[in-house]
Amino acid sequence: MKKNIDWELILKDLTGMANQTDRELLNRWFNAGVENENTFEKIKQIWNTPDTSLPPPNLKDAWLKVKQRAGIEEEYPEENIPSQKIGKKFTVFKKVLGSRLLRVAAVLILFIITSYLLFKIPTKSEMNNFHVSSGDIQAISLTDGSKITLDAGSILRFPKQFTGNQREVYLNGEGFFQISPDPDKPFIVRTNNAVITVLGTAFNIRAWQQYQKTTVAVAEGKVALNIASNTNSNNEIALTKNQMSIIKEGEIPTPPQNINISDYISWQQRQMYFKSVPLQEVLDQLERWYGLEFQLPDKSAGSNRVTIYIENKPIAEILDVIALMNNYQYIRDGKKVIFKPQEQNLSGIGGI
Amino acid sequence: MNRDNRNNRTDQTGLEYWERIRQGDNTAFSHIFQKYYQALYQFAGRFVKDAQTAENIVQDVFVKLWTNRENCLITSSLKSYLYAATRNTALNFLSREKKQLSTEDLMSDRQDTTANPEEQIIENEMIDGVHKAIEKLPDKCRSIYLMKRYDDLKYHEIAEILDISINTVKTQMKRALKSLLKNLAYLKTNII
Repeated sequence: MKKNIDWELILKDLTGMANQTDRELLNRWFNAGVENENTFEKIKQIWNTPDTSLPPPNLKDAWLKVKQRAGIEEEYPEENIPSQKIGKKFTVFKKVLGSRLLRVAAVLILFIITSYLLFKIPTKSEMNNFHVSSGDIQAISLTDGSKITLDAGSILRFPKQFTGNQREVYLNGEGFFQISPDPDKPFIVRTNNAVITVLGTAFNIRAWQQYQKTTVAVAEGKVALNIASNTNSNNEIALTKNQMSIIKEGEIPTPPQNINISDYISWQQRQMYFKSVPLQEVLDQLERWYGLEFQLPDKSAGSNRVTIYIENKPIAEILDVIALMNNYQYIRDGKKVIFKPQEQNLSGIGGI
Repeated sequence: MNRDNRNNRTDQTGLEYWERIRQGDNTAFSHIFQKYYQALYQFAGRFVKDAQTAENIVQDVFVKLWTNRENCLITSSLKSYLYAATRNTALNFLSREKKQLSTEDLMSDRQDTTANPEEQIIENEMIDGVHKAIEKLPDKCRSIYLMKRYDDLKYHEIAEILDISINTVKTQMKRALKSLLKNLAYLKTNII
């Protein structure tokens, strides 16, 4: 394996100095074996790790100090602690249950409720389909108070009313979920190949069916992630704040990786950070956001990996950057954008 | 491509928060604190190489931002302002203390995560190679390169923070990448 590594090629790519030919060579090397791609990922990880990073700070302590020194009285937003709520409910319940008569009544009522629920659960409630048209970003509030922000082109399927002992929705696309806490009714998101279970938290899911890949990133609280096909609990992983994992078709979730959550949720401000992804995926995103159609010089060009930060700015500027990075020039005709190879070979700097 | 003369891009969301902070909205302040504290702390750490000092510096920056909010003039970007203020505070600290540890002291803390010794050797060689190559860069070039790579700042933001033109940032960046590539080329022959 070792002797196959072309350091110069890899370094060129990492420093953003690879040209079209270099990238083709690199892709050919990727295609030669999975372990090559793994090796590249490893080198990239080393490359991207600062040599002088400090241990993570205690944000809460720091905020307390700043607050005190600046003379601010506002409290640091605490996370929800549902267990306290349960405790309170329980005491109330116990008081009412004081007398024996009431206890008998309670058992009866419980019996009636249980049989009602048993009857009720199998009947699936009617479903809604929420489809966000291209060029748009839309937020939707569900009946349980949860809020979901969906990117252009996404489809969310959810019941008109949440019945039964869980809240279940289906996603094709990308959405930022802010889920109302309800410890008794877990919220479940199903995608093409993943099941995401939460109690009450905020997280992002990117799950476009065509990539057969689900990426989950957590902004607040905790999330359980599993593959859709075979819900063996051995495959389940837990993600907490500022962590992410990817499920690819037919694979188990990748181990939790620490991330900067803003990279994963800034699409809501029309900003997106693509790290070594196929060019086609970037173009798909632009298609959804700007309603464009793209044409590449050849089919394989779409699988070239690019690293690019897209901001909410005029599409012409974004197209300039993509053309520059790939040594293309482009012609735009209304909604149609045609990329062509650049005539002379300019070696530009990638990653504006 | 005329992407060069755009030093005056504004950070709209940041400015909206800044306006709320100026009016005494401490929720907005807390939001900005949570958004930038960690990144600024790592940024400060590269100057002062000490966790506690880095924390103190960034806390100073935030306390000043709040207490001086009525006199503080931020017109193009709150983010650039925060980075510039952190950098200045860190440089002031260094000139007072005149103690700057070498990077070697920090590099020893790095955790080894790979079990396979063969891979480990390659990894170590790579890590050392990369860091030595970065150290070889001229000062200005290096600081711009690090801001781009580790702080994920955009060219126009770096230009604002260092108060230089975008073109200078780009030229330095190109120089940095060329020099890195040259200094890292030996890895190819050395390892294979």
